[in-house]
Amino acid sequence: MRVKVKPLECTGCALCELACGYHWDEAFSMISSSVMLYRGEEKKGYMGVMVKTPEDLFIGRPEGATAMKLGELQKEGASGGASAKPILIREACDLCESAGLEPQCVAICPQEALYLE
Amino acid sequence: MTAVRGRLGKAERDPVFERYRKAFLFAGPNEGRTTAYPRVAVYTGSGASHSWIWFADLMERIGLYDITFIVESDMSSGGLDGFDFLLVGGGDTYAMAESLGGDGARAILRFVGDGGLYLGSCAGAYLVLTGVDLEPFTPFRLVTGEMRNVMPDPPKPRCLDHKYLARYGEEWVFHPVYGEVEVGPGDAAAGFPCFDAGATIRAPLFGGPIMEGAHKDEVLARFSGLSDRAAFLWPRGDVLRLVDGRAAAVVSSIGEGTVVVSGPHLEHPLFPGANALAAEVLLRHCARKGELGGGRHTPGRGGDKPVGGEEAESLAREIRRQVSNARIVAFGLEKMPVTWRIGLKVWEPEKVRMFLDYAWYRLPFVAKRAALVSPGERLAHLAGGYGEVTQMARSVKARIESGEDSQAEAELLLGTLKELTAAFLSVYFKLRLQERTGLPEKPRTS
Amino acid sequence: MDFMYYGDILIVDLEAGTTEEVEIDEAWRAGPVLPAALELFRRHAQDNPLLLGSGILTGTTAPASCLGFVLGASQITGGPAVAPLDMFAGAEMKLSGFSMVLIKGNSPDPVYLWLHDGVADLVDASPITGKDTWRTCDAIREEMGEQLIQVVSIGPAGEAKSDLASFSINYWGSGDNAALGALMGAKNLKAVALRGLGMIDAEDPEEFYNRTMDLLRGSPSKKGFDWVSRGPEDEGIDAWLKPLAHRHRSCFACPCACNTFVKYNEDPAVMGSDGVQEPGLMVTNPAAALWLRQGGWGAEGACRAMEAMTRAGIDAVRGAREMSTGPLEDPTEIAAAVEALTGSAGAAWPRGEGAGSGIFGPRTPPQGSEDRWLEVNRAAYVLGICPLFLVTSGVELSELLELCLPAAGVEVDAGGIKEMFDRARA
Repeated sequence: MRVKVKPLECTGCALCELACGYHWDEAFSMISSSVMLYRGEEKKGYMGVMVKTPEDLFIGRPEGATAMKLGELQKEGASGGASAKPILIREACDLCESAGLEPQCVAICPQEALYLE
Repeated sequence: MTAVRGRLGKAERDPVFERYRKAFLFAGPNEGRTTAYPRVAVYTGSGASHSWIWFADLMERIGLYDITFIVESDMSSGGLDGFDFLLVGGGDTYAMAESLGGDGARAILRFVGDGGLYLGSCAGAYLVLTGVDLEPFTPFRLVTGEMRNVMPDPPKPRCLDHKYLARYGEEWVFHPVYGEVEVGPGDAAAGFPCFDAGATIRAPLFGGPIMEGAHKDEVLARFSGLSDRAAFLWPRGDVLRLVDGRAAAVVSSIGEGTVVVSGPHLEHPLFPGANALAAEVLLRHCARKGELGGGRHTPGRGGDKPVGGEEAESLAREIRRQVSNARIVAFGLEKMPVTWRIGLKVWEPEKVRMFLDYAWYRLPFVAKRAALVSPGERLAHLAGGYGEVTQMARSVKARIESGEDSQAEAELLLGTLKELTAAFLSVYFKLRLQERTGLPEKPRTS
Repeated sequence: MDFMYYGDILIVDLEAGTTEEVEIDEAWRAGPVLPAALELFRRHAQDNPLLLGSGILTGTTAPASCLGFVLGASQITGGPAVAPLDMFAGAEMKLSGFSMVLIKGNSPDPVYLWLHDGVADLVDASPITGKDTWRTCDAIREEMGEQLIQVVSIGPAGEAKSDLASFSINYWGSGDNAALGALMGAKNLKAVALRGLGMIDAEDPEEFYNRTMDLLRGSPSKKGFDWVSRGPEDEGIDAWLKPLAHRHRSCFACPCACNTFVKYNEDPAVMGSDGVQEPGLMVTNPAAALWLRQGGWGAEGACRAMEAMTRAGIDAVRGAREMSTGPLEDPTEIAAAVEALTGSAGAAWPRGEGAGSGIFGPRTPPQGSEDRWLEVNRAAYVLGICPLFLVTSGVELSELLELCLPAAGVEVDAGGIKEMFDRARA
């Protein structure tokens, strides 16, 4: 079971990021979320949603959604670096199990752009 | 306490630390102890990744503020004299061993022989295991233990290929699981509060050794289970068969000294239980020696002039300005699909913000006391340094965005950040130390 | 105020080039909300202040909590006027590390104000003087190295202090119908850039969060403009734009995506980002489109005209009404027509079309009676909730007001909001 994204349904409200940030930090912020709204190409109207899991990153690009293994999506390549640590700043999605809740990003999304599968 | 917020702040306020803060921070003659305040050296030199910051964080949580950040040249030039604890975190073990060399190894041996405590996690653990018996590691053998996570032909991983293997002679060190694991008490942890009533603790394993071969009495913690909050590079059942019951942490006494090695990062700031295990080891080391800390000397006071109040405030504002600017750029860097290889180690862009966050959350404390910072030039150095970091981060980001290679700029940025973070934390801990109450300062003896 | 806001009020003296921070007057129990800003506005009237701030719930999981405010003297009305700081700018204002900002005096040289995590920098804007709002946003984001910085800026119309001037938010048109863009121009203030990586605390976070989740579950999730239309004459705007429509976009935390991104320099069906750099426009306000459509414009020409106006820093709603030409299609002719508007002194405050309260612009299309719209606007700005959401979502205002207790530890009701505004006027 994991959180997936229907990127074309997303309207970029960032409620998923906010709910995830609340789950981790008990405050309203988007700096720690496992769910990340990509909105860095505003002038092109381009946006997507990413979900970090322990093993991969689900990337919901408007041109297609796919899960990519960590390391694969990076240009660096796939060998060596065995001692590199996963990032501290952003936790991997735990489906909100640590809070005993249903995944809050899915529950909060007004457009049903996030779903469990 | 720092100004850190969210889950990190919550972990920092965990009641588990009270026992150690009480022992370390507030202990003193006024409480009937013959104490000195332990001095801590944290290794930040070649090969050290970012996890040394976690050690600094842990020391702060348990009230130990007399912290010095050292590099390889400090070790070989007698720089370990007078310290009570030497903490070596994760990173590139080869780079560490090569840069420390025989001189560094002898310095560590002498340090432990003289009654010091060595605590190594992950790379810092591999460095001193007897089972790691190749050049350049040979001179460092301090703790009996073999690696179980080594084989000539490891199977293909399920994920995280880029973090799976490291060459070890003709064989490979492999990492079957990345993330949270469960550990239970070994015989050496009898009476440890963190394992009260048969409790287990959680700790993150990010490539550290899975050990066996240590004497039963020296096993501090054993792997006892797995967690969903981890990446499984091997099938979960295979991982469990490999790790279950193996040593996660080992403690060994050498004369008056103590050596502790841990595969999992006991110092990780989101794992208070693991932090408590490390803290208990430090406390018991001090107790075994009959005093709280060797207290072989305390840092010098005086002789350095702070800058004036107004100038200090202005410099503190400039540091804040630049750390904020750099942090905002670093946040943008996090989502960029790029990594940089420095030596054997892969660095993700996220780590830029991590370094900056550690300064950011401590800035309010420093800013309020900027006029006390001595010598005052330190503030100017930090302000200038963080200004450079901002420009470097912007340059790295611009290069990535335009599809250009950013390796050289990133290497410079991360190197500068590492040094600057150590410089910042030095200032911070010195101020913390000045505010500490209840402990007498002992004269410098070394 | 320990919750929902952090940081002090920032006072920027543009003439002296200095900043100082002051605490909010404790008498304002609800915090640095719009009525408190109005009081500050009056207290500093001799300095012709411009204020930016946010509502109690701005930047949280409360539905449509996107709203902040910009307050200043309108050169059209001669009195104070309020414009919405929406999309992501209101939330970023909340996160900037300042609970409110008051900018007084005029700068001798062009500057922009960079607010980041409780740090305020006045930055030389001479390199971007004369640039349109798109290039201004590009330049500031490039200079600071981050694309998520929210940029409230003026274009040539604002610099020329045109009555039609309006500040833009990033690349898009704002609800500034009161020429606050001209006030920025008069101050030699090219832009205010906002970014913060902080956290907003609630007094009772669990209670607050759970209540907001309940409200969101009961909120509509609509896309496009038609659902906010005020009558039959407004309908069909979505169908009119449909051939160009690429995606619908929400403001921060809003379940209703009433912004429409249209592409006319690229096939709207292109979803990747490898195509043209500037494929179109986000239509943020249907009123401008309505006016142009009523004038016989085709959708593409109208969108190009709206883009040109937004780039120039012209309020597209009033600009659309002032266009002296008939419908145009050729981009060059459209650009020339818009350029002719830049220095326009026309377009008086369109009273009688919405909340002619003296401070709230006719954020269009206005909803309901004038009195009702005034009441909604007052509540919206105090709460930080989009007024359109308030009147169209079916969520009761009382339910949103009740959020203030777990959010900030203050009880706020409709009567209390009126009292706040009365007090600010006194």
